[in-house]
Amino acid sequence: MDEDEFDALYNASYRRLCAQLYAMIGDFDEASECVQEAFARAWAHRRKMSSVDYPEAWVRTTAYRLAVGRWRRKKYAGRAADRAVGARTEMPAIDESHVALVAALRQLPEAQRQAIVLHHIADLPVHQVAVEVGAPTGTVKARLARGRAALAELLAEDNPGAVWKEA
Amino acid sequence: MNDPISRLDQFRANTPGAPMKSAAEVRRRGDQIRRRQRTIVTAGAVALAAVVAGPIIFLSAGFGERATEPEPAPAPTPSQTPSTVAPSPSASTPVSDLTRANLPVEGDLVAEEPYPKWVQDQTYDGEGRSDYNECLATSLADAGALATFRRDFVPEAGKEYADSAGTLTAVAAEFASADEAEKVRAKLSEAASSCTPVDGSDVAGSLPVEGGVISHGDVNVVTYVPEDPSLNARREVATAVVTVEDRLLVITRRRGVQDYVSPTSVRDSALAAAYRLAGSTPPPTTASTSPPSSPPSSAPAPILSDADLVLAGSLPGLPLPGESSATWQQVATQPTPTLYCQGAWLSSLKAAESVSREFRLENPEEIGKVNVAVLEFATKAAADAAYEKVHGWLDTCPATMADAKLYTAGPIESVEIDSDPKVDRAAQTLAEYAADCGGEGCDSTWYDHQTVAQIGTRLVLVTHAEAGGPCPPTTACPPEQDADYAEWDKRVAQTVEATVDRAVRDLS
Repeated sequence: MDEDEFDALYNASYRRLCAQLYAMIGDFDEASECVQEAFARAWAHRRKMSSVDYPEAWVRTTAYRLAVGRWRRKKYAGRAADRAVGARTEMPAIDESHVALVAALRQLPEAQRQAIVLHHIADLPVHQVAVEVGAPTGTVKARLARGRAALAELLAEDNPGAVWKEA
Repeated sequence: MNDPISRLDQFRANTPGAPMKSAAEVRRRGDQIRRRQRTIVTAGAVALAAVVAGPIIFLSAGFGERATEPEPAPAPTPSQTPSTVAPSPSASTPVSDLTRANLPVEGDLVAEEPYPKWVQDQTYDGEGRSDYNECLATSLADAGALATFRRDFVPEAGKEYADSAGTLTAVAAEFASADEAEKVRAKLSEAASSCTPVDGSDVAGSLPVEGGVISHGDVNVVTYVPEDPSLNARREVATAVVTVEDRLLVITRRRGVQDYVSPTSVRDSALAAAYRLAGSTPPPTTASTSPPSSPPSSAPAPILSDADLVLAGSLPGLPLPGESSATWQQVATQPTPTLYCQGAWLSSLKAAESVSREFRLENPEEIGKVNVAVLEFATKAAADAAYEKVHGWLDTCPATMADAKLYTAGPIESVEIDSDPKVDRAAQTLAEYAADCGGEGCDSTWYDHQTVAQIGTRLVLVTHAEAGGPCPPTTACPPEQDADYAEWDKRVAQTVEATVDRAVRDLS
């Protein structure tokens, strides 16, 4: 991967990867930092990246692992997350409906949340989601079905009265 | 609109904008990471190349010595007191380096015939919640101690006369100066003798505690009739108070008695414990009924050799799906501590013999480390003290020998290790600390399982370290259930067992 290829990948996919990671972890500025760091690692491994079929998927997975690592450290060590790429930048205000959706997503089990985000937000076909999460296609389908059902309930709770429920 | 698919579609279409750094900035960061990785790989190659030179370095350093450790401080001259070994805090900023390791251990204590030997019960940082001596109204902390530690002993359970042997408590303290310690000692001795808080107490006798490393000391014994009418014996309180320079030790034995017996066993216990208070180990003959002036005997120590050290082939492999398999390589001793949580070089434990070996797992970066050391001590008491010292390191993880940032140190726990002969005791803790990222922030983390095991006069120290980040080396990332840790735990256990098995072969 040369500079032009990297720059093209970065400019084309950075924002959507940030949104996807935000949907997965629920923290927008943490998501953007992890995505930037994942791109930096992609450049550091540019020779390896040339043989990767889906560089964007590689960056997404790396960013997600970075985010999980930061979560783990914050949970177990009680320290602030590393700011690997630089100083915190001012983040734009996020649409309220997005906040509610992300809040609902965070209440899903991790596997369901990951499947939902990859399929519905990253727009990956089911078989590609299966490859990315390392699970059989049938399992991914089941996670999607259960995740959507749970998400519908959670969104209804967020807006009571919007969905009629039997007594 | 609560249809989740519509909401998700809307989210995707109306992606929140995140501020971007330029691609060039991100590439520069990537170049930094790349440079750092090259440094690590180069260092690993140097370490592997050093395997060939390792034996030469090992032999030139002398058998059982760690070649790359700094030279120990010069031995104290005969005129220097043992406190030279454990430096006194400076007068301007009094800081205590007293630790639990300065408390007496079972081997230091002399049990009076026909009572059973004393065994360790509880150890506290501080003076403990319960009173340990009814004659002493003032705590050592209130008297100005910089640090205090307490250890309670009880008679060995199930033995004859265990019920009537009473209890024994040792409290160690450090003061800002030797003068201050001596002033407190004089007051405590007076209080132990008069025992004013107890109505009707009688002085039964006293005995000086002299010799060895002791600066000043005595034992005072009082008896009194307890208020509880069901107790038909008098209560006896024997209090030994001794100082060694700026450190002070109070040993209290409490029991029911019919007649006064001179407290020679308490005196001898205090005499032996004073060595440990000073940071050294008692001579073998001190913790006995022989006179304190007896010259220490030197028991011949078993000779350790590299036959006591585990081999690379005995260490468990690390599964690396999709990668070529990495194998453990023995490397030359590194200028790093055997245990990340070490508070001082192992030479400070003053083992009679020691051997060590290190292994690395690279793929191609360093992803695993195993450090082992086997220490042989001249006496059981010395081994006990060293175990306590290492246990203290693992408990508090001072990590003063390490330069990597500690994220978290888990609680120290007793562990079972299958070996023949059997391990007396063993403990393990997990430390997580930053991996070397060339001074840059990164998520690489070392997960070090550090183990200390004691078999008689021998200690075995093992570190099984695996690199991780962002997740620990579990089968799931992040680990969610116990099963995710099973393989990692198994690898650690295999490393520890293989190391201990090798270290005790010549003892069976």
